Amino acid sequence: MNAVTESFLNVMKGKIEADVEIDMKSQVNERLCKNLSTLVKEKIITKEDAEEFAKKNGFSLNPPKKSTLRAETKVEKRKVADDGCGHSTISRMSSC
Amino acid sequence: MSQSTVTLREKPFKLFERSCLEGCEKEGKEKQTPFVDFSVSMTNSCNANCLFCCNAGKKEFKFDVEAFKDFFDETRGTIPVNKVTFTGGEPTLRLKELHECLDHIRGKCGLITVNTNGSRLAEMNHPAIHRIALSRHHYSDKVNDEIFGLKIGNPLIGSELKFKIALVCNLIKNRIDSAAEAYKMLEFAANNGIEDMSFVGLMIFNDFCRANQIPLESLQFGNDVLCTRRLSYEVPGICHCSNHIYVANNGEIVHYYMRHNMKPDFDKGSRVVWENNKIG
Repeated sequence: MNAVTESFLNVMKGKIEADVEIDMKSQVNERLCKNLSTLVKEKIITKEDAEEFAKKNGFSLNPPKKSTLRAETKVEKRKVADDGCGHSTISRMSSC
Repeated sequence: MSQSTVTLREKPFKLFERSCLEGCEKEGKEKQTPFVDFSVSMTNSCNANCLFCCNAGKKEFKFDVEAFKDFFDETRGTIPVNKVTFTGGEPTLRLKELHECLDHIRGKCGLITVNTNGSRLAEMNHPAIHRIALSRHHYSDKVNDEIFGLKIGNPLIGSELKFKIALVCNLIKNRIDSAAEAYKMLEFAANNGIEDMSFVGLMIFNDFCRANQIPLESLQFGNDVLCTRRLSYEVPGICHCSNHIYVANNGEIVHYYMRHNMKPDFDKGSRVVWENNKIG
């Protein structure tokens, strides 16, 4: 894992920790897992990077329990071909 | 049809050069299939009054649904249509015609997007829509309304819409014009359940745009932002953009991209523009 990615993931961890109640480490880990899974799925980080980060922080990449996560958005996620300039077919807004 | 152009109603359209995307060759064979994107202007009218508007002063026309449907079907007989963007003016001012078009193209292309200022967002619940590109140029309702010259408020509050909403924020001097302001905009997105947004540099349509344009390069973010890709159009100087992710204070991830179109008519070179009931 490169230093930029690791720094970003540490910031993410810090913000999640600040957002949850004290002594709710399990919730922090579940939310981290959720975000890491998203980043891996979207090929922003590798699965190995996510596993390395999880290991360093003392948790594993198990599927998050929905009951303790933040309320899921009502927006349905769809895999669509977003093109913009025609460069890519990822689901995110890209380019023009 | 050659590999690099497609001809629609005797007009050649250049197909995209995919080599300009870093690493795109690694992302799967499906990307090699040629396709076109549509930008469909429903109207030149708008209920807002933005000072940077590229449509100001354009003559109104009556949108011909049948003409669009014919052209769409004709195009699909030649080449796949990937993305269709309905725009304007404010396309929701032609809601009946918009819904008729959506009924027709549903399931026939990869992505259907409607650009809107949000004043009629609650009425945008057609099942064909994948994404709303909601123009939102400030995190403050009051300032945003001033920019639009229209009372919009925050249409995201209580929204029960079933599709994704992406915010589009123009970078304007004394509005969202710095990384500090952009951070507040990203927080606004996160707090409203938005996963995608964009920061767009003003194109130079008039003196206001010239005087209030903010270079994207002037926005320097910290280590809570990760750049995920950078793109440049194959002709240097036309357009450049980049994708990023931001982790908000609530721990949620917001994807955003930054785009700087250097040429006002960029769209006409990159996609099929349907305006005034004909190819633009």
